[in-house]
Amino acid sequence: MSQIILLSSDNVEMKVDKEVAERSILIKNMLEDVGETPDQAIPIPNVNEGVLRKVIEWCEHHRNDPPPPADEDSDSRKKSTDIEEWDQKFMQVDQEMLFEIILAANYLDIKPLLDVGCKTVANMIKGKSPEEIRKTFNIQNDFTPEEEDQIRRENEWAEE
Amino acid sequence: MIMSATRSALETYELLEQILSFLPALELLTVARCVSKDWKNIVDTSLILKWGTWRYPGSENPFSKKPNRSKDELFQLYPNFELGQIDTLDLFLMQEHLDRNYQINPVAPLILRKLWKTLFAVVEANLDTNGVLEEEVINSVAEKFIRSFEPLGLYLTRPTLESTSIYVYFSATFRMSDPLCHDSPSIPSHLKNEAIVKIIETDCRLSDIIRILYNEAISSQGWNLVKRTEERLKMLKEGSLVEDVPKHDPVGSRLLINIRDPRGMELGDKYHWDFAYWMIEGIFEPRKPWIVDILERGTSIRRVREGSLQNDLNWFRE
Repeated sequence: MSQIILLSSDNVEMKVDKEVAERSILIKNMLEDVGETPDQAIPIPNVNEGVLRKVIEWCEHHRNDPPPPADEDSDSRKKSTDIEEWDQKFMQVDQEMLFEIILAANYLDIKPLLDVGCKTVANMIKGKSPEEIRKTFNIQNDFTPEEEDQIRRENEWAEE
Repeated sequence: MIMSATRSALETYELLEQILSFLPALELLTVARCVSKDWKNIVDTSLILKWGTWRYPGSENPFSKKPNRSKDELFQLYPNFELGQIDTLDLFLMQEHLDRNYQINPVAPLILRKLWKTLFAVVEANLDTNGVLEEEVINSVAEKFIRSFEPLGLYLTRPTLESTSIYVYFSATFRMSDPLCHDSPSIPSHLKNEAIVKIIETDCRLSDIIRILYNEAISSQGWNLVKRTEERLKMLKEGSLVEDVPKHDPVGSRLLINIRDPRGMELGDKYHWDFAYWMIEGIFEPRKPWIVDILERGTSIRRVREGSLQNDLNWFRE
């Protein structure tokens, strides 16, 4: 099994199976462009060691997942927020790490991991009030009172 | 200062968009939009989120790679109605029907959405039906319904309404669908039952109206096409407000609310709107239309029906 070396943003080298690393479309394409398994470490400038380890852990676990269906419709925008158990446990990290993983999955182009991350965040949002959401994610409420009023009026229809 | 990952992810349009796309439509509209300007902007501009909140102007999922699939194809692919196929029609597209004296409330689609929601709440409530309603009850209900338009705020400005007709058109009513979150319940099996409706005057709200409409739709035997046609012709002759309801929607259902100022009769079609709204998934066969009309003219209400409930139900079971 051929292996490659990834180099995190903080210059830590990690050896991984090529097959595992290729869960990342970015790396996969890169390796395809090079044509052969490189001896040198592949720099992953945007991802630090801790996050990269986490991402690799996910890729290891999901190394044998079937490829996503070619037919785009088959996901048919079915946006269930169900997350499989292993992934749920995997995502039990602090919030910063969660978003680090999302950013890394986005950068490395690992769509299923990105989905799991986004679902996890969506589940954090679900059922919360706008104020609770702001508090959770440290978001500034930048509406003027008038604008807030306006939005509230727009929402009146939904109140039973 | 180093930007936190939380912040930098949430400030990336595509990432926040993706996160929000996992939220149910109602939460997107009523909660996510209220968080901040960025969040509001994303819910209001993202195509996928517009699609997910019934505000996408087209009828095809913008993310489908197979836009013009035939019904046969769809049926082969999704014989068990698994397909999340939703047809939406943005009300704002219908602005040309509006006279400038009518200014539609921008949240009108949401109000209609509520109408739908209520309808399905009634469906879900496992109601009993006996199908025969006292004319006066219907009268009172219809009046209340008409009055309820105002507080609902469908219009920002409008002339006095003296006449309102409501068409509820079902080509399929078995599944409420949230375009993005498909955890909607299937149609309840009691649909074939007859219903008993109790309308209490003081409690006569939108949901009751919907219940009436719904009961009318599901409970009556002997849908009479000939009679309906006659009545329709008669109404048309009388210069009534009846608008032809489309024959069928191959996919989806439709709620048509037709409101017209009596002055509209003199002024042609200026004071006339249709609201059409689709959000049912999974019907691919053209259906015989299944219609309930409540038409208020003066003090009387006429109801016109067509279609066969039993056929519809058998079709659901297949």
